Amino acid sequence: MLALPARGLLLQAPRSAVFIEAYHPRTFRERGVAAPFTTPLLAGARLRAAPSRGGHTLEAIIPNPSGGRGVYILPWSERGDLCRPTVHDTRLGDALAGRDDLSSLCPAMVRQAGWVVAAEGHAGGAAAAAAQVALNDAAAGFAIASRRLESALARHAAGAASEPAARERLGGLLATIHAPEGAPARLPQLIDAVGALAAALPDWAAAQSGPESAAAQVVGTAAVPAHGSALHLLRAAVGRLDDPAALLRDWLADPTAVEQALSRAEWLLDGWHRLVLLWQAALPGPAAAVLEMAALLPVWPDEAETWLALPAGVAARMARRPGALARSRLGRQWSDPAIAVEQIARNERLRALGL
Amino acid sequence: MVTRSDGLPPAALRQVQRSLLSARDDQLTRVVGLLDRLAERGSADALIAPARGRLAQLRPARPLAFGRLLFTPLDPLLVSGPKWSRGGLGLPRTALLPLAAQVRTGLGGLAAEVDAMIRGGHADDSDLVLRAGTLLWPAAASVLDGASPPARWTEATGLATADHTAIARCAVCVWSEAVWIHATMRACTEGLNPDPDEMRSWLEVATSRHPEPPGALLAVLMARVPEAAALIGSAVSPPASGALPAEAAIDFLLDRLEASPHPAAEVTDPAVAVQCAAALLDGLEAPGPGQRPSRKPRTERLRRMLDQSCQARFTETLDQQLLAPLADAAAHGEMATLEETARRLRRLETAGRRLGGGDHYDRMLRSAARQIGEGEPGSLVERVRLVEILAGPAAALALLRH
Repeated sequence: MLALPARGLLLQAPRSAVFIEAYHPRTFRERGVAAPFTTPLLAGARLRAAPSRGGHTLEAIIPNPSGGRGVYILPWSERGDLCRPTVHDTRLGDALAGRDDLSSLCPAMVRQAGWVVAAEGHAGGAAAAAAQVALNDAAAGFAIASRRLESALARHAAGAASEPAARERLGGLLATIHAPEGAPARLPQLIDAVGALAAALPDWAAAQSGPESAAAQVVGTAAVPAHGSALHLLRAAVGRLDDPAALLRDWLADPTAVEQALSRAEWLLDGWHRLVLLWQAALPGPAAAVLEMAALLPVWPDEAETWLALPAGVAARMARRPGALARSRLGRQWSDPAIAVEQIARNERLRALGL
Repeated sequence: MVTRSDGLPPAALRQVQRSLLSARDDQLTRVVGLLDRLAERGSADALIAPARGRLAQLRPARPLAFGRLLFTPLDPLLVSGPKWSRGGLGLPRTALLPLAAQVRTGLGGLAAEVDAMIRGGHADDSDLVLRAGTLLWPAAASVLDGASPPARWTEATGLATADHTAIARCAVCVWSEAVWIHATMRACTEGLNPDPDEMRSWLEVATSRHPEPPGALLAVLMARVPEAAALIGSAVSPPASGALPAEAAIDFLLDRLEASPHPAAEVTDPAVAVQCAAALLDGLEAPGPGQRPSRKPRTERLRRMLDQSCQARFTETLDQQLLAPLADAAAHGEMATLEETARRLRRLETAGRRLGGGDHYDRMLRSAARQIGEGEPGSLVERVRLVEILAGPAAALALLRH
């Protein structure tokens, strides 16, 4: 385990250079995608594609394990310098690192890969069953969304419905943001859950004292704009479905721009799912949960200001949070092997709950 | 002190007890399962009393009944009837049934709520224990605070009326603070160390609220929270608790350890018991105001005993509860149970290393991982997971890629 100095310093790891820095990304892609890792040290870690020798490599962004500011940024292939990931995490990272389309890494891609690895059983039997259900649901949702898209396009733009790439890419996005018949789509459910968190945490914080109360206030305060903004972005995305012909036209002209517009709400809330599950799985005394949640709060990159038409500097101000939260109390989690085993089991239970 | 056994002559009772003592583990577990299913246990507990130490090691899944939940916070203070002495810190087991009945009556409708909450649950479900305990323990303290002995107290327990007052006072004191203690214990198992200042403040307030019996709260806390054992053991105790209660609590716990150094506990994880014992011994041996040269031979002897018994317990659990049932568990789709056993072993091993024996644990874990890896039971992924829990991800990945 490497010692963590003050932020902004360069550490020499055994085989590679590992940077620790104040973490304020400019774009969502630079922020990376939250991965459902089970290794305690990788809780809240994100993955992103980094240009490398004409292609891309997978890079991990790992929060300061002491709960303080700063992150480790290192190539996925060098993760052994920092920790020993579980088999589940190794399989997940390796699967993503080997993808041809790594440059377009996004939350949906990581989620799908996570389900596949969990379905193999590497996060335990309960998580395997849950992942299989999730994979089946996602496939069913995709089929429905894809059919609806096709039929809408057939009505509005004869001939365009047979565009297979459009059906494939847009169908997947629509299944996430828009409810197929009966079943609520994934993203609206998450937005509701973040809203519930924003409503519950202030009351809980008021009844506590000490670092737990401060942590709950920090998370509750961050949940309010996350909820409202995600809702706003989702409505904008769903609104585009009113004119599927225009949507297809725009997609054919610039698929990246359309896909980004439709997936903004998902990018914005990426990382909140783990916080929601931590809160939902907590006991009557969820002190440990709120401390962990505060340490894992997703930061807003500057790009959020463009997406949400916010004044410049808002994202940077939101990223200013209390530094180390109960650092000494959380310390044993990273150094006691028995607690690490328990934490892995707890993280696997979160996977089974639907992470 | 008299142990009663309504309905069974003493000679017959002794014969049944002897049979149970010589029974195999699975037979003993079945008998306990039958007793646990009785709606009214009556004096059935007397039958298994001599096997209690072994049961604490076997830890069969016990249903979370009202009485077991009620007395979970008091577990570190429970002693058998004959070993109980007036004026000491312990609570006699013979008093538990009448006390449970008295509390149940006093609770009124709340007792049914607790019953509904714990129905189908098990005593090793720490989440459920804390949830239901939050409802029950403070209410039980209110019921028993200042209460008179129930009818037929002396006949049922062999104890004097005045004993009820002392026993009830002890129970009330622990139940009143049990939610905090259990929440702290749980936080510790998650790696969330209690803040020393917070713990000192809590002790100061709690011991001033419940000064009698001296040391009861401290003994329970030291048996549940390793950090508290170290803190109090090194005599960095809060001013209000004074030296005497801490000494009484320490002596009580050392006596218990001496009588039974097995890392066993009926309701808590044995690893927690080992952690607390090791922390207490560390605290007592650390330079500082708590250090007593006269105590050193005793603590050193206890450390050796505890180390040996922890290693033995680890080896026995590994062999009998993990490796032996591997094929059966794989065939019946019960590998998740073995995963939990493997985690329990890692907890025990980590706690045991504080006492020594690192080489022994390393050797046993490597050997077990090799056996599982080379064996056939279960799918490859299931075996990989067991190896990962026991020996870490590097060994597991090597098996996966083999």
